[in-house]
Amino acid sequence: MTAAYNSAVTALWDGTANQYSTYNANVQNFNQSSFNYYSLVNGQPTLVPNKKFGTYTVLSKSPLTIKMTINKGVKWSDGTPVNAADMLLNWASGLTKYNSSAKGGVNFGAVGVYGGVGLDTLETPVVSDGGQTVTITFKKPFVDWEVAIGTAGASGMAPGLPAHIVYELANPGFKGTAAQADAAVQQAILSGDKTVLAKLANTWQNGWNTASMPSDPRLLVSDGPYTVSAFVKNQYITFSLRKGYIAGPGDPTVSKVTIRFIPDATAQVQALQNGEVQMIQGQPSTDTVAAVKKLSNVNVSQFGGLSFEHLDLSFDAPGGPFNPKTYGGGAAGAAKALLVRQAFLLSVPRQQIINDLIKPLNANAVIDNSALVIPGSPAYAQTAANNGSSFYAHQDIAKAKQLLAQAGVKSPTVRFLYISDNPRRVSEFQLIQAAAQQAGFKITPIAKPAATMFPSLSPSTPAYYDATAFAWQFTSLAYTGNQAAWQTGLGENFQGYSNPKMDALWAQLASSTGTKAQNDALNTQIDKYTFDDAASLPLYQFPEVAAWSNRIQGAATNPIAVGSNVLWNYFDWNVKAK
Amino acid sequence: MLSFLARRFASSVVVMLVASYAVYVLTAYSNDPLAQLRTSNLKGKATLIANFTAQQHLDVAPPLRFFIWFKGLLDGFTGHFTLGLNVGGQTVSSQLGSAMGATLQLLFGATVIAILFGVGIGIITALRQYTALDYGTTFVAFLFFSLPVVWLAVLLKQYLAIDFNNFLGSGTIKPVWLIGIAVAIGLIGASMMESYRRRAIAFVALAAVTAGLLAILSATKWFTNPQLTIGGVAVLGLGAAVGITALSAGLENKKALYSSLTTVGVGVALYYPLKYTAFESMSLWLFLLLGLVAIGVGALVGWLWGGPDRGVSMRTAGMVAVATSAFVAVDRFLEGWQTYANSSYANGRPIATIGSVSPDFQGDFWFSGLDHFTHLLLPTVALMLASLASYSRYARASMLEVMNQDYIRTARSKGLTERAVVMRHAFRNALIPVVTIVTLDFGALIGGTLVTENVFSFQGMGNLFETALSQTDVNSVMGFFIVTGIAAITFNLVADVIYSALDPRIRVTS
Repeated sequence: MTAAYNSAVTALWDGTANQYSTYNANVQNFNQSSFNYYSLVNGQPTLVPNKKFGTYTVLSKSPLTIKMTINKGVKWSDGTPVNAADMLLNWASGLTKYNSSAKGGVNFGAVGVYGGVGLDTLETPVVSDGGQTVTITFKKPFVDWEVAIGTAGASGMAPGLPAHIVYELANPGFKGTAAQADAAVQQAILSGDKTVLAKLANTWQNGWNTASMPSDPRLLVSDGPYTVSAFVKNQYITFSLRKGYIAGPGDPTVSKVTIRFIPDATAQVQALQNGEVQMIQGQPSTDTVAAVKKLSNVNVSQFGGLSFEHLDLSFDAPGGPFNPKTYGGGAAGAAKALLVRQAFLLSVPRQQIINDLIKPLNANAVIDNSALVIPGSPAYAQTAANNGSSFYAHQDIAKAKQLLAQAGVKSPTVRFLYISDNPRRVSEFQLIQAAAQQAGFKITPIAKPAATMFPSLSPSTPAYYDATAFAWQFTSLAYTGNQAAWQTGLGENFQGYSNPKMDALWAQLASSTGTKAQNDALNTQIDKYTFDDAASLPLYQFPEVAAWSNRIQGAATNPIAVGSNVLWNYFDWNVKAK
Repeated sequence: MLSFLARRFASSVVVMLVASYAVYVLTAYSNDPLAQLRTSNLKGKATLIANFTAQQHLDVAPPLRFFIWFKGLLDGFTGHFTLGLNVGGQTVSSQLGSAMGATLQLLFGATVIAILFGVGIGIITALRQYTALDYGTTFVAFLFFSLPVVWLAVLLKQYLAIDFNNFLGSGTIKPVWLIGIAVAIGLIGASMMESYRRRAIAFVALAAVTAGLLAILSATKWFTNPQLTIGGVAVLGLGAAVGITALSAGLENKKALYSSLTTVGVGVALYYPLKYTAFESMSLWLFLLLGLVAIGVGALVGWLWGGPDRGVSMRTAGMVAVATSAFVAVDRFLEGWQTYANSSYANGRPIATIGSVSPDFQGDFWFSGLDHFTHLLLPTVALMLASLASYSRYARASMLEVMNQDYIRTARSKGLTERAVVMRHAFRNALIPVVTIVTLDFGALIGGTLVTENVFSFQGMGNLFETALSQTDVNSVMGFFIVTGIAAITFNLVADVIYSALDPRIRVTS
């Protein structure tokens, strides 16, 4: 079974900032197992526990205490048990204090640095049960603990790299057993021994940074269902099924999976047609979508990806039509500015953008109606129905004109910043521009290539635009994923948005220990502010396409899977002989 | 000469230094290497930015940061040659190594074949100026020259890989194709002739022979299991012997002809002995060694036939030996064809559209040779077709110029045969300007071709450069620049030296 992916694997461990990417995550997809994973439940991406690997239970809600136990008999492919040392090492790798670029500091160079919240705020973890169990206590409750502890890849409580091998490689003179190495790692982390940790961190960061088959077989040790059996730089990587693997989630039957690195989408389609690969996924173009649909004996899945395009209005651009200060500030100025923002957003032709730009690539595309929840996830329908997005359900030029008149603002000028080196973004801008002009806005285009557009978005630089459109990318179903884009003064809040009520809700949600329904309700309330304040309008999810030979039964696309959206459930595949 | 080289070297070092400073600073300012991090919504963003800034020395302004990089470059003299780390934290030298390998694999064969065919076509069309052949080949060469390689590649994949693989499944040629190919071959042959009568004869004869041959091959399903056998080797060898002798010595040179024929005989006689000895444990080095031995044997045969002009016989027989060995080798490669085509690597579809090798491939020299052939066929054909035009035009123009020179008229009036005039007096001199172009092209080769690399999934130098530039990976860009810069300077130098060697009127002194 051979699949194609559009970028080469460049490292065997993707938890580092240097090597974090979807193409390297494909490796973790095959050779890591974890407490939970993103599966499809009723066709919706959902976080599902993997009880064959281990269990986690909430011992107490205040303080939030979680007990995690790895099942007996779960082993690395070299026969060493997976245990607390492995969990602790992966936890330590994401601690902010251990990702220090200062001289002499411990630096794991991890991508999943906790940033002062969540797993950064633990009491010292307690190991029990002969190293099978770790119990952690949060100093401050953390709503996304289940995402943070479980999923494979990057830092967290699920094992990442094998601790005993990291220790052996970091201490070349070490002659002891794997158990002794594990004990040393555990001791160093629990006691905060920086000399040992610095060496471990260096190995953790650089040891697996290889773009071809390593000469040291220890680098291939895996706790997932597969191990790497061949890896040719820039060409392919092959995973072979481990014998005696028991840690779930499923029972894979495909003995070998090869991923070939094929950047060109047309080349992928022709390779599928020529039988060189049986599964493809890449950036779709109208040509490749048409070509792949013509193939016989091939299943095609068009779906919305993790990135979503959205339109942001700036609250702090000096003299901007959406800035309350322009109208003298205070309650009256805020009310006026709100009417102008609502008028602008009402003029946006969302359905036309979908029809003209997205549907040719994803026939199933629909308008995205939530700034916080990804369409297709379990919470989406409920959220979208109650978050006030229905106000913008249809483009309404007449109402936009009326709102402008009500505000008493005549043909306000909107400086629209858009990305000029992406044809879809240019078309998108042109559609928005035409509609806004109909509603009575004047549009001043600010065209910038992506390379200079993004750096200039930073919240620390004063806004020079009133409206802009770009994409955010979800990486999980965590509640706090988009917090930084909305809370007052945080890093991704480029539009100068600030609503104390929303900030309070964020604080409440981030440390919530309530049920899923309660958390979803809080999230919907926050989402409602984004629409009620007319701050932003989600447009569409990026279109994705995957195709696979109908010899592979059981394959399905999952937008939020680790790595490729179509390789994630290899354990459900059944490959028919030709 | 030595002082010329020394001076050239010194000035090259200065040029490289200044240019690398400019490239470094321009690249560093071209984009924001932190762009991706800035727009990510990772929780530890501030820490990540700090770490990356420290790793890549982003806190130092580019005009000064160059010297950090340069110091790293000088570390190369202490045996620590890495050219720095790329944005992924891997050494640039290792990235460059694999990228150069991929590029050379992709481009080398295509360039060599394009030169051979291009020069050949150029010479022939010059000798048949303003004939149907001349216009026809010019048209076709320019057609491929102006087709975008991407499109050409997609077409080749569709027809030469996907459809051809479908055809190989059955092995029978459809009558339409059979007639079409026969007519095409007939027309090409006819266009070389000068009178209508000759054209008609050539067309009918060639078309009939082609059609007959294809019909037999199709009926016997030869294409599903193509084999030459000893008979095929003998026939092809004899053909090569006659052809090479005609060009190299002239058929009237009986000693040369007999040397050639004897060489073919020796090759055929060794067919079975080799198969069960050296061929059993073949490796690339042994393969090349056997090729050298073959040339030696050919030369020996030529020497043994003796005569007043031994050199010519030796040269001719040596070339025939190479051709005969090639046929023997092709025969041995083809023996594994059917096994390969039906193996798990090919799954009945041997011609590949991507990459340079089948994943997890394992096999002996002959088997892996087939695997390389099926993978490199398409990219080589695409690149060759695209670059054929320029070589054939240069060669044609150069040949035409030479053919109008006074000394050619003198040679003719001396009573030399047309073969001697063309091959000895015109061809050699026509090559001089072509050699310069070829040498410089080889220097440019190492820079890779982004488009072709992408479409055939070779991650070579073009790809490396493009990726590095889009990520503002300054160290990788500099690695690319150093390699291509040195290649350009070296091959320029080589071109100058070869030029002076070929043309005694030119001296490389000052």
